[in-house]
Amino acid sequence: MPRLPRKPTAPRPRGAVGAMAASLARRKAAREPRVVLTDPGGHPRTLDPSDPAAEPLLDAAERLLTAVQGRPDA
Amino acid sequence: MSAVIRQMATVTSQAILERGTDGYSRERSMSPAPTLTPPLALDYLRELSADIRSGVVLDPAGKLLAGPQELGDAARDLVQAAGDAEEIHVSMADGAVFAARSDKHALVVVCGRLALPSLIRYDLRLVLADLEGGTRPDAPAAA
Repeated sequence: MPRLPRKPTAPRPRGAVGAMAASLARRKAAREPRVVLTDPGGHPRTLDPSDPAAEPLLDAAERLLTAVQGRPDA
Repeated sequence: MSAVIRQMATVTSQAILERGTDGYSRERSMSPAPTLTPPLALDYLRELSADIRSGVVLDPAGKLLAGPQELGDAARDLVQAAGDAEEIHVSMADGAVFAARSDKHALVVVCGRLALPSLIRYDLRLVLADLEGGTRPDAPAAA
């Protein structure tokens, strides 16, 4: 089967600089708030952190994390 | 088998019968295994995953059944804000919060930032099933 021509992609830094940039991007993404709700059918839905429905969830999660950090057994 | 050995077995079984020792050489009852209690469920969850720092068990009305009192209000707000969602996962810079609920209970746990979501969610569903006395979920597929 003939191979299709590769789609052009945005230029990305390569080599050590590229690896460092990708690592920083991954770290930044991991620290961003993320809300995922799974319905009774098992379908996950990711909410944007700026979504009004996500706000009370983020607020409650923040309170839980703060409360746990203050506990000596945590 | 000699007559003496046969006689010894009969004497032993008769002595057990007379003493009313339950469960010896008898079939196990067909009743299901006893369900977990809410405090035991939390202990079990913390044994399953070292990433779980703390957690609570709530009833459908949001009443705290087990876990630290200071987490109760925030856990109730989290579950209520999720609408009809069965599972909740909120990750932030300092950690992650996971919740799963059924008709009778809601489990909310607070984890470190490096907790693996699929494993925590599986553990929650597993313990929730044990709390209900229901069927355990299938193991998650290998990544």
